[in-house]
Amino acid sequence: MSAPNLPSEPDVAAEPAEVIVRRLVRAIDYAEGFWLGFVRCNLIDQRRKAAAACRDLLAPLGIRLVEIDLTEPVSELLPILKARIVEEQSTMSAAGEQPPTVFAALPAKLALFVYGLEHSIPSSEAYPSILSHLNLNRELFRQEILYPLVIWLPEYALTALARRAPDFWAWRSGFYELAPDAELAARTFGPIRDEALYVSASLSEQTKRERLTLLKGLFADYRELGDGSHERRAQCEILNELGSVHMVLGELSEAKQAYQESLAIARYDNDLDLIAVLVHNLAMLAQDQGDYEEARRLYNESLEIKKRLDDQNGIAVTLHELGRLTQRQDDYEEARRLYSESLEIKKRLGNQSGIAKSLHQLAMLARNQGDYEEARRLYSESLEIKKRLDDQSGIAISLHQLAMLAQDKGDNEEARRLYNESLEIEQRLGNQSGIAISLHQLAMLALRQGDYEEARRLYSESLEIEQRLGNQSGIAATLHELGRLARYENDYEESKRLYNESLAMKRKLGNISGEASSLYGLALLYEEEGKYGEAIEYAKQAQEIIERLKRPNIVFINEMLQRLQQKISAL
Amino acid sequence: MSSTFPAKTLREAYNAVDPTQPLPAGDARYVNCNDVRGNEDVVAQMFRTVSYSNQDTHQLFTGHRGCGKSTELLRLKARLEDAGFYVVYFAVDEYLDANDVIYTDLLLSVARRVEEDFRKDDIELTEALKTIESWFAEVVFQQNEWEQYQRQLEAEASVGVGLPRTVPFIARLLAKFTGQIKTGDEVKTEIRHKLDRQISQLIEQINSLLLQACLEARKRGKQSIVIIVDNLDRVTLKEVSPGLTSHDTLFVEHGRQLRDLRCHTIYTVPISMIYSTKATVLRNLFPDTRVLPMIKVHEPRAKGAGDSAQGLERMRGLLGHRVDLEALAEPDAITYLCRASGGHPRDLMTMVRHSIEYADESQAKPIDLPAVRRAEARLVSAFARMVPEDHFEKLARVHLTNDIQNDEDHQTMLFNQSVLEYAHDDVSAVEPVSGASTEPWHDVHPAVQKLARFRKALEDERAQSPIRA
Repeated sequence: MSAPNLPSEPDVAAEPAEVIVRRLVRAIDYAEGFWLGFVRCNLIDQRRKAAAACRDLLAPLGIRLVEIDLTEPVSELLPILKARIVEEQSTMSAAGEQPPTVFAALPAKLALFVYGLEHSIPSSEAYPSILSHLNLNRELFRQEILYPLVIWLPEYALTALARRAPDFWAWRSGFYELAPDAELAARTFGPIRDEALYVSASLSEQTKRERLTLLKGLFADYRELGDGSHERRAQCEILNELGSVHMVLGELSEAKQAYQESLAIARYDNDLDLIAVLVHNLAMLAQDQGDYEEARRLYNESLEIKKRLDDQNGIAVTLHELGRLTQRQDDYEEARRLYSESLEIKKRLGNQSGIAKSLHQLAMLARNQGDYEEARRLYSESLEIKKRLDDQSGIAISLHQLAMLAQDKGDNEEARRLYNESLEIEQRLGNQSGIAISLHQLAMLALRQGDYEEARRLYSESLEIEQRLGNQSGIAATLHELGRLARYENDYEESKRLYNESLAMKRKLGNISGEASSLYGLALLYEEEGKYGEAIEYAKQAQEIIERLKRPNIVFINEMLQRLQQKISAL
Repeated sequence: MSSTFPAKTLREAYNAVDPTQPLPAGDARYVNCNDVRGNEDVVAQMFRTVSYSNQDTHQLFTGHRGCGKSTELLRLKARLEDAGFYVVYFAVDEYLDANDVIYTDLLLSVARRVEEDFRKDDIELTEALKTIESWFAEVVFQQNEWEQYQRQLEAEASVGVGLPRTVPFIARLLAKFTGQIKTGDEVKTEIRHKLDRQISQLIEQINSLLLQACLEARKRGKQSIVIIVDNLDRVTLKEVSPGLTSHDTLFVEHGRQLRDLRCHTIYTVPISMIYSTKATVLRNLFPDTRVLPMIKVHEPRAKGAGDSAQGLERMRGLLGHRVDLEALAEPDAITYLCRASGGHPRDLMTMVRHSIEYADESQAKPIDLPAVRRAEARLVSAFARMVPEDHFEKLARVHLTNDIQNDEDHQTMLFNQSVLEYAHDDVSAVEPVSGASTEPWHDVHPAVQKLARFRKALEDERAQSPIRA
């Protein structure tokens, strides 16, 4: 990316779109039987324009253009093409019946344009099944598709195809590269760049996937447009957007790659504001994966740059995330301080979505300390703002927390209703970590109501997502719950194994409150087994932590210890 | 398809150079290129190996994708048939999922194809088929599994799916297995597992089929059977376990089993295998390995790196048999394309197709230099995508030494054709100092040489080792 400038290949100069369209039309006109061509085109608007020009030139030649737009990933192309050809032929012959001319007997020539195959090729590094399908069945394409076939792809997908389906690629007769259009690229990227984060997070999963494709196309265009600082900055911003979309979709390794590539460019150009943003984003990623130390280091690095640049909004955002990290590590006082500092800045700047986020976190703190009224008030205030902004992803999170409050009060029906409402939104948005959390909570409700089977199903589903995301704290929490479930079912060995696994993970993460609940779980387990000595051992460890954290559930532990002492004396 | 060659109009010419069609044996467009592909005609070599030997022979055949392998194999088939051999030829991808081929699949498809070809010729192999059937029934499967297959095949036949009832049961079963192997049914893994454990018996069974087939063929005045398996080089190259590729597993790890068939066999392998780290093992297993090199359009560095007049002439001939060059093209333009192709027939055909797109019809000879230059640019641009960033340094070295290493990167270079293999045309003329003179030599595809990244790497390499430059 930050490679030194190379002279461009003189012979590979970009061709005007008109020349490309003319060549393509001539090839389609000349070709008899199967013919394969590829068009490299990164932006949909550009493709539409070129395809329309082709259609206009093909019509007078008696060639009918059949456009096949694959909006979803596919694992095979041949059956789709065959079905479409049959469909076209039947409409043609139906039309031919009315005026029975001599020409009606002659099948009109078709030309097949295939769009959207990139949805089946997630990245240029992947081995998607569609590519092996193409490579292996090229013979069948020749036998069964007796028309010109033109596959339109963006740069990254074309590269993947050339490398991963070399035999299919080797059969191309035509190869056309639409040159990037600087103005179109700027017009396409502008609105995305200026969009607030909560807006893109609130797009449906489908739209997010389309956005990924669009961003990859834009990136390729800017790369080709030149190596000036303007183009590099655009590449950098596009990669950052790309990372953020991958991030909300739970594709963390792709996100990391995009952020790091972007950071490399930003550092090369010493683009401080971008460096600060990217370091912050990498910190969030580290936090999601449970690497809290790295996350803190990166947040501080980002914060320092933002302070130097006096980027108030940026400072507020990083303080907020530092607060979340601190909260996760159970230092509630410090977390409150950071949230408040962040909130103050946001209020000054009038950053509504930011204010909503801060209120939300403060509400969480209130709940943790047993102030349910205050928590409800803050959550509701936050939700109001999010609704006003139509911040769907934020709304889902608020509903989730309100559900937890209902659960605290023992109102299972209300809790379930709210979790489901939240889950529905998360699913629409494709927010994987949100889905996992909602499933986890719904499982807890099922467990509470004695439906062990349903609880296990939901926990397992949640665990599967967490594992895919590599979300250590989520995995630890779900293992704990599965341990509890095993205990209820009197499978003590399994339960012990799960609690201990969870405990080890939480200790590694520095999640003290989580540690306490696993210790408490183990204490209950030993109590049930009648091993009161061990039970007291674990209960004391839990008590010590919970006292330190000043959590309201200290009463349960104290009760337990009393009970255990009595049981021992009774023996 | 235009049926008369050479083509006289651009439209006919366009269809005469279809890069997707291997030439059938005896096609008017065929050009013998032995003299520029090394001294030996590969087909003649393979033919002699089969016909002179009293024992079964097992040969490997390889060459770059699109260099004319299938065309040559079809010629070999015709020649063997003329000499009285019974040739069973099939392309592996007709039956199997080339993304995932293991040796037992391959052995089964050999049995299937032999049965099929003999049945088509109305030659019965009933006895051997019965033996195989009872082996499957008694050894491979449990009784209930076997009965399940029987019911399934009967049911399928009654609704017209699969092969009809007139076909022997075991033949239908083989067709079903190889079919499942193609479609990736989960049964596949199970069958593979069962056969893998009883591999020597499976080979024994197939050999008994081959033996009977051979006897039957002889009764009809034929010589022995030759099995040619084409397109095995299309098996997807991937790492199946650390340091072991899908190609290694098939050809090296199970090479012995492929050699155990009691008839003459010729397998195609990817050219990269010959230069893999396992090349020595492979050569021990299959001493008769034939490579169809590129047509040499220039000389190696040791001989001045200039044009090879003979090779260029042959490339021009390849086109001349298809297209009336006199009528449609400037001679310079054609020479330019022949050089730019690196002696790779398919790349030449593809570039001619590109050139016709650029051709100015108002010109007396529409395929002119500007048209072919732009056509070449499309090929260069295609290579820009194929070559990974970290290959350029090694590519520069290949270009300067005409030599490659037996490692993974160089294997990939042969696989994606950024490096091409050539044979010395006149062994005695190679200076003794250049080492083993019969070894082939290598160079970077001319299209890759045009890439700025390659040129940069070449400059760096020259700066580092000025002696070479």
